This record gives sequence, C-alpha cells and structure tokens, in this order.
Amino acid sequence: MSTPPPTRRASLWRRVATNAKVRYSSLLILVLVLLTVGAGWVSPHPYDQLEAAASFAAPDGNYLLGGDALGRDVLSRTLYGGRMSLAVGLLATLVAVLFGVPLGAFAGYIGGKVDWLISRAIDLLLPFPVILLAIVTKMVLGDGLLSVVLALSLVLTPFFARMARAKALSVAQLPFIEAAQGSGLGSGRIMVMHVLPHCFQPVLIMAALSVAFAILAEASLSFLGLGLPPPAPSWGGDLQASMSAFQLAPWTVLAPGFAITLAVLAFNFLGDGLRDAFDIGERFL
Amino acid sequence: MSADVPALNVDDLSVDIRGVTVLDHVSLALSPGEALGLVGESGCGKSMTALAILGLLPRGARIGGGSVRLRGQELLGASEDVLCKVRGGAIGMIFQEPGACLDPVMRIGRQIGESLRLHRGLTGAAQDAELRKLLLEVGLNETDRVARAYAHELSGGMQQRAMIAMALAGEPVVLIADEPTTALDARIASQILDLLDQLRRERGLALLLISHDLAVIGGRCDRVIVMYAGRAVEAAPAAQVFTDARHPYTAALIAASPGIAGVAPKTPLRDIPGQLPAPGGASDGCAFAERCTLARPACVKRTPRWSTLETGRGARCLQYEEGW
Amino acid sequence: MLEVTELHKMYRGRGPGGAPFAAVDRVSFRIQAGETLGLVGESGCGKSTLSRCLMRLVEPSSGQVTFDGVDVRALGKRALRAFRRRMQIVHQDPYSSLDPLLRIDRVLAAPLRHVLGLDAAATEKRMLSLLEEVGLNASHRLAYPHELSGGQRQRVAIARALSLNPEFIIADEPTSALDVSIQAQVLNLLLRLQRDHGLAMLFISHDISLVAHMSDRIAVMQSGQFVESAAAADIVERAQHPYTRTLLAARPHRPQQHAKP
Repeated sequence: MSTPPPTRRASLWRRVATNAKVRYSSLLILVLVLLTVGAGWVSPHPYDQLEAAASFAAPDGNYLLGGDALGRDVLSRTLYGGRMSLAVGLLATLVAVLFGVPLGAFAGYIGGKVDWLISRAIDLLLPFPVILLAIVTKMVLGDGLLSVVLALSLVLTPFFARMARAKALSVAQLPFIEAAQGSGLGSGRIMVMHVLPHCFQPVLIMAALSVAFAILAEASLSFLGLGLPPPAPSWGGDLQASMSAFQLAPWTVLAPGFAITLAVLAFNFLGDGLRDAFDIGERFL
Repeated sequence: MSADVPALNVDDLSVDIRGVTVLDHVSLALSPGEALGLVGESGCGKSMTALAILGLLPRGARIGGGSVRLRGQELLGASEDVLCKVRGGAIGMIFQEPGACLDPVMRIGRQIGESLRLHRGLTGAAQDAELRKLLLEVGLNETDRVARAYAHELSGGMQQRAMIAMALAGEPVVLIADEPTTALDARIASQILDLLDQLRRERGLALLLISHDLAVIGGRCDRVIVMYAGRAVEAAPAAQVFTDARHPYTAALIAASPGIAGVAPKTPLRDIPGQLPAPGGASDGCAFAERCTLARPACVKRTPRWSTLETGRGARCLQYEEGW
Repeated sequence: MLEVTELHKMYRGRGPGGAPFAAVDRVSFRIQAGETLGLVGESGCGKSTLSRCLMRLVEPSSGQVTFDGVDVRALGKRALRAFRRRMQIVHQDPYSSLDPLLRIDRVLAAPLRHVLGLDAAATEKRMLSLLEEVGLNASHRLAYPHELSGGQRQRVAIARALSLNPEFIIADEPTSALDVSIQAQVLNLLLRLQRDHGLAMLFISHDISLVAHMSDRIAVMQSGQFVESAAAADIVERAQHPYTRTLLAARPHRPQQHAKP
C-alpha cells in the first residue's frame, strides 16, 4: 500500500563523499588547481625565459621536463598553461550555468509562448560548432581570454538551458507545485523555492562534465590558433607549436598532451562519480 | 485426492532479513476449493508470506524456520528446479499491478503460450486451442484480439484477467492473489473477484487472497487470518470475524473501516492511535500493545502465543492465556 | 457559499483524429459552509479536473464559479492569487504533495510569510499552533518529508491547507494511499477541523463507502457528468441511477449482507 520513502538526504551526501571516483578526481583537481594557480611559486622558471642553448634540451636537472623549441622550460610552461585551460573551463561553465539554468527553468515552468521563444533560441544556438563561434568571437572581440570564454559559453549554455527546462517541466507537474500555487505563492518564489533546487543535482553533474569538455575545446582552439596568442602559455598552443618536433623532442608534445588528458579525465570522473552517487540514469552531454 | 487433504500447509514459518524478523511463526492451511484471506496493513508480512511460499524472498532474506508443504511435498529448501516447476505451475500467483507484471514487448498470446509450453509442454495447434480456452474461461471473449494485443493495449481489468489466464495455464492447485484488485476501480475489482470465485468453484482451486482491505477479504473468503507486525494475530471463519472479533487489533481494524464499521455518517471512526510498527520492531512482548485499549503492563514483556479458541478459531493475545 | 453553474472543460482528443471531449460536462452544484459534498466516480470520470477548475489551477472552458458572491472566473491574476487563500486542496499522494528537498518548517512557513505577510515571530507561533491542531508535535517541523510516515505527511498537507484560514477545503482522495488505521485518523481529523472551523468541504473519492461516511450530500460522476446527486442517506438507500446502483453493488461487503440496494 505505502511506497518506500525516497533516499535520505544525509546519506546522499555521504554517498557522494565516499564515492571513489568523486574522491580521487576531486583530489586530482585540487592538485591541478593548486599547481596551476600557484605556478608563480611552484614553477622553477618563468614561462617565457628563452635560452637558445636549451632549445629542445632533453629533460635534466634544470629543465625537469626538457626545453621546447625556443629553449623555454616545458614544465614551467605546462604549469602556467594550466591557468589558461582551467580558467577557461571553469569560467565558461560558470557563465553557461548562470545564464542557461535560470533561462531553461523559467521556460520549462512558465510554458506557453515564453517557452516557445526560449526553446527556439536554444535550438538556434545548438548546432553551431565551437570552432565557428570561436572565429566569430575572435573577429568581434579580438584575441584574448574573453573571446574564448564567450565562444565556449555560447556552446555550453543551450545544453544547460535544455536540461534545466526538462527538469522544470517534470517538476512542474508534481502536486507540491500545485499546492504552492494554490497557496497563492507567485511564480518567482515557486521557481526559487522549488524548481531551481531540484535542478541542482543534474546541473552539478553536467557542470563537471562540461568543464572537461571546455578544457578539451580550449585546447583544440589553441591548437588551431584561435586561443590566446603566443607567447602566452597554453596547453593547446604548446601542443601545436611542438607537433612537428615530436620525433626530435617528444617531451614537448607529451607534457601538454598529458596535462590536457589528466584534467579532462579528472573532471569527467568527477561528473561520473556524482552521477553514480546521485543515482541519476540519464546522459546529458 | 480427498477434499480434506490440505493443498497447502504452512507451519511456523519464520523469515528474517539481515537479522530483522519479518515473519514470526506464521501458520496457515488451505484446502482445495477453499478461499483463505490474509489481511493486514503495510509491513504486516502478508506479501512476504506469499513470497516465502514460492521461494522468491528478496536478497538478504533468510528462512528462520518452519515448513511449507504443497500436497505434502516440502518446498522450503527444495532445489531451484523443483521450485521453478512449482511457480506458475502447481502454485499460480497474480499480483497487484498487472500492467507491471506483463512483458510490455511480448504479445499476450505469446506470454500465456510460454506458460503453456513450460508447464504443460503444449506447442503449436494444441497450444493455440488451450490458449483460446483459457482466454474464454477468464472472460476475455475476443480471444483473437487479446492474443495479438500488447499489455498496454488492454485495460486494467483485462490485464488482470490475462494474468489470471497465465496463472491458470500451469494447471495450478493453489492460486495466490496478492492485492489483485487494489489498483482497479470498484466495479472492475468486483468482477475480478467474482471471476476468482467462479474459478475456485469450477476448478477446485485453493485460493489465498491477500489484501489490506478487510471488507474485500470478509466478503469473498471462507476463512480469514489477520496479520500484524509479522505475526498472525487472529484466525476465524469470515462470517464470524466481523461480528465477533477476538483480537483487539481485528476489532480496531473493523471499527476504523468506514465501509464496515457500521457508524453513522460524519461521526468519527474509532481510530487506532500511534503508528504501524517498523518491521522487526517488536520481538518481545505483543507488537500491538502500545496501541491496544486492553493492554496491561504484562503485554509489553510477554510475547503472546497462539491460543486455539474453538475449532477453526484462534488468536494471539495474552488475554486468552493463563495468568492474564 | 460555493455555487457552480454549468461548469464545462473541454480537452482536445488524444492521438490522431481524436475528437475533443468534455472532461467536465456542464456540471452544477452548491456547497454551504459546514457542509460536505461527496464526489464519487471511477478513475477518469473528471472529478480531479473538476476540483482543479474550481481553483482555476486549470482554466474552465465555460461556466460560472461563484464563491461567497465573488465571480472566481472574472478575477485577474493578482486578485486570484489573493483569493486562492480561501479555497485549499489536500491531495491524494502524501509522497509527492510535499517537496522532498524542503524541511517541513519551510513548507509551512512559505504561505505564512509570503502570502499572509507574517513576520518571523508570528510565523513561528502560527506554525506551532497548526502542528498541534493536526496532531503533530513541534519537533516534526524540523523533519524532511521522507522522515515522516504517510499519515504524518498527510497531516502536514492538511496543516498547510489550513494555514491560510480557508473557508473551503477540497479533499481529493486524501486517504487513498494510507493504511486503514491511519486513514481513520486522518478522516477524523478532517471531520473535527470542519466542525471547529465551519469549513465547506468537497470530498472526492472513488470509494463510495468512504464518501457515504464523510458527506452530507453525494454527487455521482461519470464521464464528466453528474448522473445523480442527493442527500447521502438517499443515495445509499434509494439510489435511482443505474450507475450509482452498480457502484453501490460493487462495494466489498460483510459476508452476511447479501442484498444490496
């Protein structure tokens, strides 16, 4: 007769905290963030210090991961480069969440013409490949962090909006929403009190996964020369610059490549672990 | 097989799940052609009893003792092979949500056909003929349409009839119906219960009807067993259980049911204060004591044993034991 | 107090070529203060749609709803929100009528603070008195819905409905998901609250025994229409319409009662 009660809230967070994927990936992310943010202290050399003699130097005591084409320390460049990648990844995701989620939730909850309008806007934005958007933003805003972040945000926002809309649609059917409306509470308050909190779990998972996506996308953009111009260090840019020298000095390619892989994997595992802990079955990206 | 050899005998069945007792020395006996009702609220163990009989206990559940005999054959501890033959064969079972129990991607005819093949080795034309017969027997007269239909294309009542047909396919001796009408409207529910009655008489089935609704049980069964917190607390012929309940819980349940309490409209029902006990909540003492109007201090400490009051009547209450 | 005239709600048919159908088909009735109208019918008959139309949670296609002289359908959005305080619904499912993410005190405080405009102290006081009135104790306000039993959640839902001092309660299958002994508690609670506050009530159920127990008058609904409507005792003993008779006949009965009216 009575159905079993849903999962306890405290045990939910305990499940998150004890999930192996969440723990290890969080640790890794923490390490990456500390290393890259603290690159100024941790890094043995400045990233733009040229030393002709050290050009393509093999890893040794001075240059731990070797030297690149222009004799710069690969390790230092990789550490500083991480700043760009992580900053772009986190910022783009943050912007996408702040714009996409309220927009999508609003559309899903209100419905009708407003929903139609917002959904069409989302549909319009969805098919644009990130590279095309990056070129456009670069033309409009010039080189720099802003244009890359903007391009990536434009790519990510529709996904968050769509997911928040779906969640809002499903929540809007539930009796407690009807009860809230019946009490005379306004739409705004119902959205803040009821709808948005229900979006939290799927948004968190999607955010982790989209940071991973953004890091990879940024690396690809930098690889194609659409990111920050040299001598700014970036994983993708360094990768591109060193590609031809792979046979001669593999460390110049492996270091940034490995860094990208590590960061992407870490965030992917975080998202995966969160999804396991939250026990949500759907895939969003 | 003479009429007074029980089709199903359950003696002192106990089940615990990870140390928590969910069934405590439950006994019942079913004769062919008889309808026994098992009634109780959530967590009383009635569904668990059915699952234990069929060997379908959830993971982590352990039989703590007792015996389950089908026509004399012991089922507890029997091999999986034996149990598989019994399930859907000699013991048929129908559940509360027929829509959820029918395979959504298999046509009805095929599903019932599976059962015919498994339990009676029927295939081809013989299977088709028997399928037709079964569908007619359960009142699904458009046999072609139903056989070709998928579960979702049938109404709730028709789905339940299809499930009954599937249960009948194995030529059962015992039919266990666990809340078969709870998810159905009153009129359809009444028809389904009529059907079960009819099948019982025509086939001489022993019917174990499980429900939370005392009115349903009382109206359709010969005998009633009332369960509370994993224990059987009263057993009586259906006719007597309403007029002369011997256990305080049974009496309270009757007084709390609007349909049978016999109270004037808009007057309060006699409600039972407190909550239903959590499974395994009371091991010592009487589980109902804290909500019982007749309770005395001893009730919380001494576990009541089964007292046989007359032939065919019994109750588990300290008031019938010595030293009360 | 509540007067409904020719209430009508059309929906588009489902699937290709589906004809539009009337979920509520020109229904009229009246309920006075302190009175309970029982609405009985099988699933899909339109009783839930009717209740939502009364509160304009679903907009009726046509017809009139007058509450205490006020034309409910003519109210603008803001006026409607203010008006909704006077009519409250208690739902069937105690598991989804409360937001699982919100603690009970936030659930109860929301209408008090944001609709009635009470300050923190007044809200707390009123919340405690509401909890007491429905038979819960103060500690329950710190619980989350999943920590409470079905009966307790239903009491919270009733407390929430009461918090705005409504004059009219719609109880939509309020006990269908509860066990018998708990159901009796909740039903007795509803009766007591009706007596204490002089509430008008619309009691909706598929179970005619339940409706007969709880109502002064009964309306029987089938396919969107009222097929019969009379005093409760008259319906039970002298039902005229064949559908009503089949509903009565389908009641599970005590073994010695064989003749059903």
